[in-house]
Amino acid sequence: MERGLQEIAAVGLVDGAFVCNSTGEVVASSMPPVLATAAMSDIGRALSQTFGAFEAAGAPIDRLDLTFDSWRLYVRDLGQGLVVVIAEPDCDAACLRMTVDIITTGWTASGVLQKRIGKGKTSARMDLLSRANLDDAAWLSLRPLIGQPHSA
Amino acid sequence: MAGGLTGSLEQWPLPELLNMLGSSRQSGRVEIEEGGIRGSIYLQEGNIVHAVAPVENGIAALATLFGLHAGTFSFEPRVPSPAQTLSRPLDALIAEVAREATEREAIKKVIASTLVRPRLSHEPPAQPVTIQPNEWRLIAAADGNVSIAEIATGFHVDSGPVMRAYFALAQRGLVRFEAPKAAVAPSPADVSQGTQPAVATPAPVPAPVLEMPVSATADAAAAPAKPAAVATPASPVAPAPEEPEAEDDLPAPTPLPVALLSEQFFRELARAAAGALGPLAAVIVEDAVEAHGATMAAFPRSRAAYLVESIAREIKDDRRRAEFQAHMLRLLRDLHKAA
Repeated sequence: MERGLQEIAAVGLVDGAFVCNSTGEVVASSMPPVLATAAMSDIGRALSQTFGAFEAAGAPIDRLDLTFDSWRLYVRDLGQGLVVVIAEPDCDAACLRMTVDIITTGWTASGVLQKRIGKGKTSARMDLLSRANLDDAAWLSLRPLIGQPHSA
Repeated sequence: MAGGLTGSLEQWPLPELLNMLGSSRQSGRVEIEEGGIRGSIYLQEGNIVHAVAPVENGIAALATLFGLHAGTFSFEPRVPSPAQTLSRPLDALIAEVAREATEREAIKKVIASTLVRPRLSHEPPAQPVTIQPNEWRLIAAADGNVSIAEIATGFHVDSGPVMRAYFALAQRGLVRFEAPKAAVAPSPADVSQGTQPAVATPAPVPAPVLEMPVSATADAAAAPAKPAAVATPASPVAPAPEEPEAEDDLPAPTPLPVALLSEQFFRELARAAAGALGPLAAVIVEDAVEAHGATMAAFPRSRAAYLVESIAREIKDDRRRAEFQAHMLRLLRDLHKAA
């Protein structure tokens, strides 16, 4: 898995990549790590909530591409986890998407994905959407999407 | 004929080769290769029992392989067939293949491309018609807005069978075809520097076949370039054409020289696509080029990866798609190095 992440990191203007499980825990990272483990874990958790929210809203997604002023976040759903790529905003997006596709297909075929983060989906991602796991702002913005009753 | 036999299809056309192997009651495997398309035909006691092409087997595979006239073949005796998909005598198979080829030609005359948009005919059919359950789903999707390629993507099937089914519906007077939507020029936003706010935007519009099952692993990356945040639905999507940016009050820009893709690149692309998609690859590549608002003679090199990606989306098999992408990424890297 680490070698695959290195290949992703080798795409032009890509800074690095990591894989996290459904709760955001970092499972593997390109070397050197693209961010501190705690930061990667926070990002993974927030992204996991986002994917879960789309799913709960009945519009599941399998990728997310966020572009900021000075960096770009490309995320691919792996079922029980996510692969997160941090890149420059003007990286070659099509090359990056295809490289991630190739690597993740290889992980699935070789069983490495199942070995490292398990197979299929668990309720862990949905658990992240419970009131207890969201701050007030996130709860207010996600509540209409996930269809839960308003509660304190 | 104790050992193998190899040769050129130009010198030894496939029907003649198979006749020869049949008359001497050979068992084994004939492998055929032409321009990236590979296939095998298995014989048992001189009878053809199985045929495999890149994305087909049985009679459809045989039709594809009979369409190859410039490749090479090799016969390896005593290789057992992994399956039996054919059981008729060679003469009957050749006749069937000819029918298949004629049908493909007929389809091409009515449906020139997978970008045409099927629509219900305004005129009622002259005679009562029977509609099969699977045809009903295609009729429901034929609203004149989505192309055959988009409908096939929506159903998670290859364009070929969908094209064939719409052809059958057209023959019964139930559907007609609208011309492909006008292609839109590539958006300058594709190469823009990222200064956009990080605001989530709606996902691309789902294909209008609402009853289709949603798959979490569906690979349908429409890549609209403008939004700062793009969420790609796991459900099927119609590839969104890219909108050109409004440039009010700006003087007409002086055109800059644009590096174009070479003929050699398109030959490699067609070969790789044929290996993954079979005989419809050429049509799919043409459609993809057209959908990017360009032609093969003038396709910007900066858009090459997007073109490859859009063709890869047509490959439903994960492994084949990954192989195609890996091969083309190597070519793209070479292209960048050469530039």
